[in-house]
Amino acid sequence: MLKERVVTFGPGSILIGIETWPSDDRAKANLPAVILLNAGVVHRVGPHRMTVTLARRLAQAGFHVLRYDRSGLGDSQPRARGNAADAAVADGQAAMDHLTATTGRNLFVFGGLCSGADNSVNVALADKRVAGMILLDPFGYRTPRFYLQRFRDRGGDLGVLIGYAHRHLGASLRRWLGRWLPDRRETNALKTPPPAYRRRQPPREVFGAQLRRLTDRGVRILAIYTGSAGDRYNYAEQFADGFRAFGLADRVDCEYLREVNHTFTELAAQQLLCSRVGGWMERTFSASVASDAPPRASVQRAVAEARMPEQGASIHHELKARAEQLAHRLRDHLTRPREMSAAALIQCQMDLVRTQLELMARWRLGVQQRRTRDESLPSAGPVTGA
Amino acid sequence: MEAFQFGDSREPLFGIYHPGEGERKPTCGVLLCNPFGEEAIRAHRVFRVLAARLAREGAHVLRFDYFGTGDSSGSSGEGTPARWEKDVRCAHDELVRRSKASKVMWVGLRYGANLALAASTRPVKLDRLILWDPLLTGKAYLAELAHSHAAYMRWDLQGWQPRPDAPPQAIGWALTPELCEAMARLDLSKPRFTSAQHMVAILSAPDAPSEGIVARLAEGQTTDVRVVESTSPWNSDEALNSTLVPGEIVNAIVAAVSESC
Repeated sequence: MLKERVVTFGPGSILIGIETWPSDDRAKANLPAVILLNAGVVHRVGPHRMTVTLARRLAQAGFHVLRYDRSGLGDSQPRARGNAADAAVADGQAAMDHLTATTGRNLFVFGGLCSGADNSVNVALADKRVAGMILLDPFGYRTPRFYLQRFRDRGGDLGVLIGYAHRHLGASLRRWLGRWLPDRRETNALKTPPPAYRRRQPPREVFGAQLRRLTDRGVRILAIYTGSAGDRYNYAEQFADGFRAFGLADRVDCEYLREVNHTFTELAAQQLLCSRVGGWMERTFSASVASDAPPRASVQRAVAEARMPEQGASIHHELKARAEQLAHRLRDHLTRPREMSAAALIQCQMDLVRTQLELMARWRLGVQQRRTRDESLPSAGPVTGA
Repeated sequence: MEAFQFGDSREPLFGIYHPGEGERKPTCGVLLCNPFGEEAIRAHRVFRVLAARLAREGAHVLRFDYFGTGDSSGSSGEGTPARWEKDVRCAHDELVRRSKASKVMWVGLRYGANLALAASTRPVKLDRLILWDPLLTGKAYLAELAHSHAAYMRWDLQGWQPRPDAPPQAIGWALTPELCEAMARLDLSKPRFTSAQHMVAILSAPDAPSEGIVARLAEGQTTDVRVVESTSPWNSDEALNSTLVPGEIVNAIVAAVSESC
């Protein structure tokens, strides 16, 4: 049976939360505790009570979970001073201090939906005790393929491509196209009333660099995008494409749930969320501490690959560095559009694409060579485990 | 303000107690009864503000989550109306135990008002029952829930269509057969016995046509119906609307409690 208890913590015990204890003694001290944050202005139970359901699912998998109201929200008192962003980080650190004092755990996985995802990243950047993040509908960034997908989804609406031209092409090309195209920024400004509140999305370069810094530190990340994020995210590989310059594709586990809405409203969506997050947590963290269980096949493969000083790996790194240089060049040009002609922009993009293609081809060759060699090695015996 | 668990230790309920400020005679206790499902989450802030206002007036206030809702034990599909009526009486006992109140009042919102009314049909020492926008018929409410669910999904997910195999649900909450059956039987037009000595109904303006029905819902007494014009839609879809507090209605409830306290 799950055990839950009400806790207060933070300066003057201003923060209220609910701890959910693991259902059995599988939990080990070196398993990280999970801390689930508010989504928007909804109190600690989450939209449709999803945070409660998720906390209990994770506790059944052996994790100690805390969900709490950040200062000034739900039933928690506001902090006496400081802005909201700093307060959210301080609240997260207070939650970690509390769990360390009561459970002895000193590694944590933060998770949340929407602003809860944003605050998870902010806490992780500020505190090295964060070992993992579950980001539900985090910031998303459009890519050329996003516009193509949207163009298809909207039955060939040319406005989508015009929007792309206005947003993403160099200033000179935009000026050139502008002779024939209407200025959509002005049109949109007239159509759309200013929002009463807005979730501020940082530039791609900032968010990408933040995630890269965290993954360099060893933070494990699960990002789940939903169908409601359709105005900025609309295909499964968009995360990998959008953050290619930061090499995040193989460092962040990403899922796109097109049929699911932002707050996981439908009962099937809630089950799917629990299953995906629970499964990821178990694969990512439980496997590494289940010392009496034989390592999984995937872990064995990963360890073997990490130990092999492959020629393919060095090629990969070399090409990745070149791609990153080109991406930086492109970004530099885009931030100073007047100094760049349309021809230079296109050349730069072509260089980038060519490098990416070369990288993929050589990487595939490396994988093929490795497979051939593996097949020639004697069998290591049966592999057990899920 | 104190948060805690109470009731059966195997299936505890979650409650938050707001002790009244100052010494007040007689001591008054007010129990706040949540509406159903997602509405309870949206009403969290208005209930918190209402509890703080009442405590400032000297009343001891308990707000709580029914079994299978909020921070209480139980999964979201496990709660039943019969269990929730029992929870209302359990929370009443907890409020009396903590506050030693000589006068106790219940305030119920929407389906919470109907649950409180149903719970009051059993013997309980209840000074006043305040019904905020009670549901007139369960069938109409079930239809409203189905409409709200579809509207919310279409608003949040472009191109959404209901799946034919999906179980009955309302904005994230399971509508189990037992729940639907119990809700479908709800009908305020039939007068019933209540232990409450006084009945007050606070209707936000759109529900005003129900004034006549609500006035005659209890056997042997007339409900004091007050129609309040409210401009804050605490239960709309925008931003899951958990921030909006209808101040006019909070004032009306505080006034209704103060009359007896």
